Amino acid sequence: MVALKLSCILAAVTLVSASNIRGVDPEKYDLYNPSRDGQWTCLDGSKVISHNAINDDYCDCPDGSDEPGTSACPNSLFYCVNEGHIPAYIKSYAVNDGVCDEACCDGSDETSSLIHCPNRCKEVGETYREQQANLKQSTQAGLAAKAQLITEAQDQITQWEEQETILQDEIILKKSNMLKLQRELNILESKSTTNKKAKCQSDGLDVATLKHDIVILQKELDGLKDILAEMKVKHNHNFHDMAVKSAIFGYDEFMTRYESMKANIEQDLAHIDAEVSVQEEIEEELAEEEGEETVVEESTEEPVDEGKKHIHTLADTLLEKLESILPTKYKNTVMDALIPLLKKDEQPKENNFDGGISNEADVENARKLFQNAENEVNSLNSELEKVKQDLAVDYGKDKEWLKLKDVCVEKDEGEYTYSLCFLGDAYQKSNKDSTRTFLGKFEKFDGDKDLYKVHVHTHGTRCWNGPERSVKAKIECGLKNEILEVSEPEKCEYHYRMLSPAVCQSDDKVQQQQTEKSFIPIHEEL
Amino acid sequence: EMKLHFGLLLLVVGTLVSAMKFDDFKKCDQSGFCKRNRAYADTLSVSPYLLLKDTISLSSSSVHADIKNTDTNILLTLDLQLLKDNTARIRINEKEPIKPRYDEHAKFTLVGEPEQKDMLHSDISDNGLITLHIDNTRKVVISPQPVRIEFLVNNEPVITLNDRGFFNFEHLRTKESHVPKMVEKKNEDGSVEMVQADSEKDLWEETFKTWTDPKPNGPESFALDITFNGFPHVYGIPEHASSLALKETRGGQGNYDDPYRLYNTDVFEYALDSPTSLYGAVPLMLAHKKGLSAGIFWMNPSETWIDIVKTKSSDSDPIIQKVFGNRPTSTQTHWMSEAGVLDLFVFLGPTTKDILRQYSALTGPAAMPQMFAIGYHQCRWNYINQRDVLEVDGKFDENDMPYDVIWLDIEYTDEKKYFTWDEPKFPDAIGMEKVLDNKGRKLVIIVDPHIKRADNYRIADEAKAQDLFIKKPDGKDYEAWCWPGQSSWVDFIQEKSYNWWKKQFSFDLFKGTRENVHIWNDMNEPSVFNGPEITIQKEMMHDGGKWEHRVLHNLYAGLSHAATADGVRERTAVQKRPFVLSRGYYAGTQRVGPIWTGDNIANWESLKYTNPMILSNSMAGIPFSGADVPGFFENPTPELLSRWYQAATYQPFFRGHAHIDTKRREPYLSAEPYKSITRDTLRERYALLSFWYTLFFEAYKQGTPMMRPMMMEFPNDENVFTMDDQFMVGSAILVKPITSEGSTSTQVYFAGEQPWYNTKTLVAENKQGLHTVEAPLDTIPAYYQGGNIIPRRERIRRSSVAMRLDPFTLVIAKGKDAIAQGQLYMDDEETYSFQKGQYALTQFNFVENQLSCQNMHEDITSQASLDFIKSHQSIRIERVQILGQSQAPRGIRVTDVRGVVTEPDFTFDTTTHVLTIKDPKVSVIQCGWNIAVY
Repeated sequence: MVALKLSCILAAVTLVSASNIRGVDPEKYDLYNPSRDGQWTCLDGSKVISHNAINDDYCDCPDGSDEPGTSACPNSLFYCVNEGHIPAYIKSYAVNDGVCDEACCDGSDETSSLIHCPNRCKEVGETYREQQANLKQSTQAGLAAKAQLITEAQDQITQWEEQETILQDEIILKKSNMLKLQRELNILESKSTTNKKAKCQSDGLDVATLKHDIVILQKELDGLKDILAEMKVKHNHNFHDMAVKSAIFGYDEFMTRYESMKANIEQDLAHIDAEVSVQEEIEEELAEEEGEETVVEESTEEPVDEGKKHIHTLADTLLEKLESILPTKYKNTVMDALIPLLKKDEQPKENNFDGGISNEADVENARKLFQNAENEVNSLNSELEKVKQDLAVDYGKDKEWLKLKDVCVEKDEGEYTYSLCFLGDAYQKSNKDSTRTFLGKFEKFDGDKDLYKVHVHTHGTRCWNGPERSVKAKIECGLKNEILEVSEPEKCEYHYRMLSPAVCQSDDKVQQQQTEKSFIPIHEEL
Repeated sequence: EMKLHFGLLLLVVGTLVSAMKFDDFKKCDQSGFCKRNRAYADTLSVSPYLLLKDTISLSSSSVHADIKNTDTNILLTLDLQLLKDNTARIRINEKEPIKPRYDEHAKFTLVGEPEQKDMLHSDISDNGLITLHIDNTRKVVISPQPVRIEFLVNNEPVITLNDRGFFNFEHLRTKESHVPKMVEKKNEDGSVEMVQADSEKDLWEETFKTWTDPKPNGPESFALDITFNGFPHVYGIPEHASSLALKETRGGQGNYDDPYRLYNTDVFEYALDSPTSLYGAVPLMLAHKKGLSAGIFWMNPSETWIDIVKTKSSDSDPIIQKVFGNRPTSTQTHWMSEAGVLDLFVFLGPTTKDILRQYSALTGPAAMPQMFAIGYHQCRWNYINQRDVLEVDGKFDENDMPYDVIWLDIEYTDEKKYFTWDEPKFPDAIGMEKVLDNKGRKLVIIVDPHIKRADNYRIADEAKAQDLFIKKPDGKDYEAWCWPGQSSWVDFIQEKSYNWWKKQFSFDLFKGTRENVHIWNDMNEPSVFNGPEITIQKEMMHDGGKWEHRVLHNLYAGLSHAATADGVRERTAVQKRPFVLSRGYYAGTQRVGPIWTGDNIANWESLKYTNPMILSNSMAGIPFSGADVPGFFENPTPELLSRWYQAATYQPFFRGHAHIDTKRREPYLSAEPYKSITRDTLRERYALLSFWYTLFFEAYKQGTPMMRPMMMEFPNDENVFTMDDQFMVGSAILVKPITSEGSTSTQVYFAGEQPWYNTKTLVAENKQGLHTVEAPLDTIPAYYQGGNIIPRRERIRRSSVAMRLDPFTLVIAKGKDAIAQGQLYMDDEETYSFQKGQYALTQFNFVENQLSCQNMHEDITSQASLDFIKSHQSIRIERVQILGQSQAPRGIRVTDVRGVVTEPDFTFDTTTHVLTIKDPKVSVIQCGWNIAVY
């Protein structure tokens, strides 16, 4: 009894204070104070009206600010205190229209004879809080699952990135091997004929290949130099790691000679360029001699050999130096990778010159080797392409969709069972005869504000006399991946309502949205 | 709606976009009796029908006589009755038919036995010429040889029956007794032989495409020519996608080659500008000339064709002028019906409004709808489940667009079994309906007259067991295809079927329905997917084998509509006005509910034709009709959508609908600026709801349609006689919808002598005659006619129910004499209490700068009237806007009902000349107050 009385009094008190200016947030009452002469200015400043005209059920202000408590202005908002729940604004059309508004649980929106709206805020508030708690709980579970998805995705990404580096390195090696084999093949092929022009071209190719190798080596060298330079600067001085110190020492020593060495190499390269251009001229001349074939001049070979010599010297120096400066733990790996690259030039040479005039079998063998190498490069390239593609795919803000790719869920809707594989394919399967219709392949994320909450699958099987089937999946936060409902609002356009942890958002964000929502009179269908 | 169905499924290849299949429907020369009667007219020398003088008997209000066909010696009876209110009835039947001809439809069509009226006097001349003096200006002259009946006003012929002698009445006969008409045939070698005349074809059997009509009764048609003397234009006889003023039908430039046809059919993607029959049939024709209107009602529900020709005006031919004087154009019509008796009503007006009142007195008043029916309806084939329904409902609120009714097409049912729900999609229909009801909204669901032949389906089981279906000639249930597949059709002509059908709408039988659920009857022509002309075979039997379908085809839809409406009315203890939309219709449908123009297409031409089609319904006593917005088939452009919503704002029935193959196009889905434009026009509709409601009451009381042709309001202005691209809503608002793409201006004809005020700017146009006006996308040209007071409710609510207590704005469109008046009708907006006097009809008068009101209730002192006023007196006038005010007044003085004087604020806009009076705080229905502008 006492409690009841108290609540009655409280209600009465609330009424009195709220009746000051009906439909206004008490915190904004100040805006409705009259001027000294009893006038009041519309909140947009457009008009001065009598203070008595506020809530007189006649719209005076263009912005509707004079009628916060009536339906007179089409553009005003009505504030419901909703004690026991959260306050809300409803649009003016909902004031005194005979409808007890969901958003106005205190019933303050209706004072007409049409209807009596009881104050339902206590129960609504309770239900709301309960729902919020449930929502919070399920969101949290979803978030945990999402965090797991993100971690796993990060691991995968790291793995892909490593793979990418490895593949790139490997491709460089294999490619140069392939070029070498191609060169050999060319030599063998040219030897098997007496076509001098072909030989010349083959030698030209040789030079070009070697030059290419030099440039690559130079690049590699610069890369190594940078690594060591960075190590020198950034290594932890407090760790007296002798291997590191010795590496830095060796690096310093190398650097004292590096500039002059580099100048030499550049000079040599320029020399090669000059020789090559001379040779090209000769070749051109040869070509002009109306198909007359002459014996290849020794001199044309000379620059090539010169170039090779330079490279070999350079390679040896480099290897020597590296061996001394690299920390033991890197040494083997680096050296293993580099030696074949740097020395490769030498072995085929032996083969070539040892063999004298090559026979068909040699050519065939060389071709096979080259083809194998080429295939190897190609397969590595496509592997790299795939990794790159994987890395380029949009898996969401935090890659949360990565681990869900091709994870499939389905839902029995009576006549049909609908399925969808995330970022993959969607199908409709008849429950009568198991015929399966393709509804579409993932095309894009298409949520407005939350881009990743809507997945669009397109280019499904075309409907008879209609469009290609497509799916629009709207995904809400949930612990599990699941299809809640499938509908076909337009012919052959399927709408999936789904749950997935991947779209869960942190608590703060959810709450922020809830608050925003409470200010617009949207009826959430529960 | 008619979608791609089984029959067409096989024919339609590729895209849905195609055109009407003319081959599916008969031309006159494919319909035996039409061909025969046209040929009869074309080859006639002398009419064989003579009135037998000796048989004439006269009473104070009627004439009876026998007519003899001198070719066959068959006797007919002629009965002519003079009825109240300038109306006459003419009946011609066989005197001694071998079996009765169908005459029972009158009980479904007429609301009672028409009241006879005594004539002043009558006389018969020696040669049998009968003259009936109706009153001092009107008389009927019946000539005997051949029989010819002429109605005259001021001694000028107005309507003449059998003017050209085309009257032809095929008597019933047996095949055995039939003596074929023989004609001479000249052979190539010059010899002559006797062969059966052309007219003998199709008498006993008739084939159309793959169907053969066995015609067990043989020929039984009749025809009559009717001349409207001096009338250049005739109107009415819907439903056709044609012009308001009907065209000639016997060829020539701009004319049709075939007669207008009345035969309810479901025409897939019907052609525009065509006399082919559509879903409905009302054999009411009005003729109009300067100073006089006349009309006829050809009461017959069998297949009917109407030829129209016009005599040349002699204005241009000096020789004819010399001989006959200056004779104006007359319209000559030729009516041909397949079966039954000739039962014709003649109306002498003198105005179109008078004729519609005279016609309503016979066939009943237009139903007064519930207020919600006038609001905006949102339909689609289909809202797929209850969540979808509530989402669409919520979207309207979110987007601040008012609407009253959401609709469910056939997919809500369990496999097209009407009176059932697809439960997985609608697990809680009642719950869904309650959510709608909370906001005052309704649900309309479809129930068609074809019943699925399924097992364990109560409706089918009962109908089979109780013999409630239409039968085949052998007495078994008629079965054919419609939406559910194999189906049978309820025989509404049979009383027990009608009564059984009504009961199915009770809440305990139709589970999942409650008070805010109303009904839609589609496919009731009836549409039969595998039938001839997509309808039922004529030889099928009604009423326990009593009548062939042939004799009553056009009545079927109307009866299914009426039975449904009766059921909806009777399902509650306190009866509420039912809302039932029908596609098929007949004379009398106005008593039941609205119809719509069927499956139109989302293109500009279809939008254009909504105006003449609805106006033709208005002219035929069907005031409550509309067209699917913005076209049923195909996807509209955003511009077309906005323009169509603007047009429909001023058309009586306003429903958005869409074919299942189209994209969603609810008005809130449009992008800007289209969305705001459409929202604005929806809001304008709602602001004018009470104005519309008052017009509906006028239609109910007087028969005057809400949406009126210009010629109805300006009957003496020849410039508007054929005008059907602009129209009037009541007598207060002129509307010229924009019906062509990209238009930003149009020509409007400002008729009459009153000033016109732009409804948007409220500025006086000061124009008469044809003028170009601006019509940017956000503007539909609409004007208040000076002299009117228009009640508006300018508070934008989410539904009509939510507006019940809202105050009014009175817009006073001052006439040239500074006078204006207007009415406002109010009642409880849902029950029949208005018929017991629970209503208020208020007339506002603005005279000598003073606004006051007057109670126009039939019985001012009745308790019902007083009670109603008392319970609604708090509804006030919150604003008065006076248009065309030359200068600012010194002040406004309001004297309330107790004599208390106040001076409310006012504003005067010097550029628009609009005076706005702020809140005079007077009741809109409790008169006795006065507002003076001084």
